Amino acid sequence: MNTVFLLVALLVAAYLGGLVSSKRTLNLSSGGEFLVIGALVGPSMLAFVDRETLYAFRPLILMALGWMAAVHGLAHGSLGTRRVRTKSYSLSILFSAFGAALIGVSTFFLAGWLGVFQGSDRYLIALASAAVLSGTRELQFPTAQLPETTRYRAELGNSHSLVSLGALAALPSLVPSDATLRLPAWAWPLLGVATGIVLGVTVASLIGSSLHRAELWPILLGAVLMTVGLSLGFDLPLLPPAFVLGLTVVALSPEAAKVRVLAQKTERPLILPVTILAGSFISWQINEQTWLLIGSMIVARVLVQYALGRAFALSAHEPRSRAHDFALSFLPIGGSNLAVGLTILFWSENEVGRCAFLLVALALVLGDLGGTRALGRIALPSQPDEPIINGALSEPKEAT
Amino acid sequence: MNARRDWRHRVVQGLSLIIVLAVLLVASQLATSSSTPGGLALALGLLLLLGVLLSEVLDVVRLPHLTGYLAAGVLAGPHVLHMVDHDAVEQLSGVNALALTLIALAGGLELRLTTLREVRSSLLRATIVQSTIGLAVSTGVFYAMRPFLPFLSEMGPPAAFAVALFWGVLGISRSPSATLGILSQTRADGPLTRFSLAFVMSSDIVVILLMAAAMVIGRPLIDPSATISLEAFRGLSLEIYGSICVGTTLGLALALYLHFVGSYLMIVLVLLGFGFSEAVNYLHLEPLLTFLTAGFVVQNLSPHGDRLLHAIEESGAIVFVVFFATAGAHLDVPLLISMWQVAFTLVAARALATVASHWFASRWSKDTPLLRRWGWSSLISQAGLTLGLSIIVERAFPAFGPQFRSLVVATVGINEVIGPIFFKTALDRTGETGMGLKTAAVHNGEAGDGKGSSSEGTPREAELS
Repeated sequence: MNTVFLLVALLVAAYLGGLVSSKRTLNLSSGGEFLVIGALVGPSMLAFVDRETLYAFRPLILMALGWMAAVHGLAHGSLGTRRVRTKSYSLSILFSAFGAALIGVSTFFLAGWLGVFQGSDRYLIALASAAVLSGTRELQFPTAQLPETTRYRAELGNSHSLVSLGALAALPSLVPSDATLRLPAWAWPLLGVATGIVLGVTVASLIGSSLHRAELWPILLGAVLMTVGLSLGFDLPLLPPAFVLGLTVVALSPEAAKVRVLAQKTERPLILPVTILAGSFISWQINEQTWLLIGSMIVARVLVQYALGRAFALSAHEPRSRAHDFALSFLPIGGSNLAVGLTILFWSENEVGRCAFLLVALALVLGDLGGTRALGRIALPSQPDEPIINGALSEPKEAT
Repeated sequence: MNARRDWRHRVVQGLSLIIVLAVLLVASQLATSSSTPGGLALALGLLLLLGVLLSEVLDVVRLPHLTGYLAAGVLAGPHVLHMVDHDAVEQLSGVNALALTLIALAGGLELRLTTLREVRSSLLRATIVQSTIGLAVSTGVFYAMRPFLPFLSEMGPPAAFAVALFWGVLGISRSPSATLGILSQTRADGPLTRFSLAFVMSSDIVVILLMAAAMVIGRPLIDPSATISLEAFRGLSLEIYGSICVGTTLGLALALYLHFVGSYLMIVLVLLGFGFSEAVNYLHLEPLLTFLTAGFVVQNLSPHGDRLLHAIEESGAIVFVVFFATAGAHLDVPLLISMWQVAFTLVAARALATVASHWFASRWSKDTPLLRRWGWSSLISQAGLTLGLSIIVERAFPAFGPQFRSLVVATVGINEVIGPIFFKTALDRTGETGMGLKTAAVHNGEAGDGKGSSSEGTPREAELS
C-alpha cells in the first residue's frame, strides 16, 4: 500500500474514530477493536499493509508516542482541574508496584521453568511484562465533582503510570547500550530522567507566566521531539523522558493547568491511528512455550488486577454488591500500557520485544471484553449516555 | 514592574537558548545520523525550539518572528553548525505540502470581497505597473550584467535576453507565505495590510501566466530550431481553469462541512494538506491556486471563514516554524558567499524597481500618503513560488538551468531575510500592528486597546490567558 494512501486512511480513521467513540456505541473503548483491525490488515495476516510501508511510519509513531507520554506526564496525578488526593495517589502507587512485582517475579520464574528466555533476556522479559501488564485504564473527567466511587476509581487510574514507566526506564540497565556514550548501568535511567527535566525546565521557562496558545505548540512539540530524538540517540526507551518532561512542566509552570487542558485535546485524534498501526506490528511467529508464557501471564494479570480491585473496594468501603464491579473495572488496560508495549517492541526488536508487545495487545483486548461494562457502571453511574473515549469523558463539542 | 518582568523573561529565554544549544551540541556528537527516526525527531524538535527561541530573542530588536525561524534553520543547518544534515532537511521538506496548503487556504480566507472592492483601483494599477516597469527593469539589469555571469556571457544576445526575461518574471514574484506569516504574528489590519494581502495573493496568478508567456517567447530565442507554440498556453489555461473549478468545489464542500459538522478541523486540514494536495498534483493542477480559491469561496460564500482561519492559525503555528526553518536550512550559504556581489546587485536592482514601480502606481491611483510611502514593503519578500518557477526553468533548459537556479536561490535567500523585516517595520510605523485584535474586539463588543504585538495572539488566546 502506498504511504500516502495509508496516511490518508489513518487520518480518516482518526477522524471517524473521534466521532464514533463520542457516541458511546462501542463496548471496547480502549480501542481493542482497532488493534484487531490493525493486526488483520498488517503484514502478519492479510498483508494489506506491507512491512516496508509500515516501517516508513515508524518515525511518526515514535513522535506520537513521545507526545502521548508527555501529555500523560502533564495529566499524571490529576483529576479535572485538581490534584488527586494523597491517599488515593499513595495507594495506587503502592498497589500497582505490588502488582507489577508479582507479575514480574511470576514471569521470571515461569520463563525459567518453561525454558523460554535465558540469561539477561529472562530479566528483561520479567521487567517488560511488569511494565506492560501493571496498571489499569485511565479516566479523565473535566471536573473532580463526581460521585465518591467514580472519583476514587478515576484517581486510582490516573496515578499508576509511574510504576510501569519506572519499570520501562529500568530496562536499559539490564543490557549493554549500543550508544556511543559509556555509562554505568544504573546511570542510564537517570540520563533519561535528566533529559526530560532539562527540556521540561526549558518549556516551563519559555511558557513563562502567561500562556500564548499559538506559541505553546511549537515549544511543547519541539521539546517533546528533542526528548524523543535524544532518547533514541542514547538507545533509551522514549516514554519515560517524555513523561518526566510533562511532570516537570506541571511542577514548574504556573500555566500547567491550561497547558494540560489544551494538550489533552490532542490525545484523542492521536490514539486511534497509533492503535491501528500498533496492531499491524503484531507478529504471531513465536514458539509454543512463549505462547504458554503469554497465556499464563495474562491469566495472572487478570487475577492480580481483580485482587487489587477487591482490595481497593475494601479501602473505599464499597458495598459487597458493588465490590465485584469495582474490581472488574481494573481489568481494562489503558492506552499508556499499549504505548509502553510498542516502545519495548521498538527498543528491543527481538523475541523479548515481540513477546512483551503480544502480552499487552492480548491483555488489552481481553481486558476490554472482561471489564469495560463494569468500568462503565462505576464511571458513569448516573450519566448513562455520557461518552467514554479511551477511558476519558469527551467534551460535549469541540471546535478544532 | 512589567518592564522588570519582561526583562526577566528575556533573560530566562536567553538561558533557555543556551541550554538548548548546549544539549544539541552534545547530542549532535552522540546521536546517530538524521536518517534514523531519532535523528529526524531531533532535527525537527531542534528547528522548532530553536526557531521559537531565536524569534523571541530577535523580538527584542523588533525583528519579525520569521527572521528568527529562518535564522534557526541557517544556524542549525548543514552549512553552519551541522546540527541538521541534508537528509533531515530533505525529509522535513515533506511538511512543505501541508504548509503551502495552509498558507494558500489562509490567503484565500483573507481575501474578502469588500477588501478587494476597497483596493481594486490600486490593485489593478499596481499590477499593471509592477508587471511592466518592474519586469522591464529587472530584465534590463540582468541583461546588463552579462559580463559578470559566466553562463550568460557565452550566449548570443537573443538567448541572453530570453534568460533575462525569465529573471524579470521571477523578479516580480512575491511571497504569500512571508506576508501571511508576518500578518499572523502582528495581527495587523488597515489599508496597508489589506492592499498587501490583495496584491501579493493575486500577483501569484499574474506571475504564473507571465512565466508561461516568457517560456513561449524565450524558447525560440534560446534554441533557434524551436518555434513559438501556443500549446503551452492551452495547457496553462486548462490548469488554471481546472484549479479554479476544483478549488471552488472544495471551498463549497468545506463550507458545508463547517456548517453541518465543524469539528476536528485540525485533522481535516492535515488531510487536505497531505491527501488532497497529492490528488491536485496528480491532476496536474496548481495547488496554490486551488487552495486559494477554496479559501476565497469559504470566506465570501459562507459565514464560516473566520472560524476556518482561526483553526489554520492555531494549527499553522508549528507548520510555519518548520516551513521557514527548513527554508533557512536549505539556504546555500557557501553559494551565497561565492556570488554575493552579483546577488546583492540583483537584489538591490529588484528592490529599486519594486519601489519605483510602486511610487508610480500609487501616484497614478491617488493612494493615501500612508500607502504611497509604505505599500512597497510587502513586495520585497520572495520564497517558495520563486524557487518553484526557477525549477521549471532549470528543467526546461538544462544547459544553463542549474547556474540560473543557483543565482535564484542566492537572491531569494537575501530577499527572504530582508523582506519580512521591511514589512514588519512598515506595519509598526503605520500603526497597523495589533489593529486586527482591536477590530475583533470591537466586533465582539469588547474594549480592545489595539496595542497588539507579536505576542498578543488571537482574541481567543487573550481569553485563554
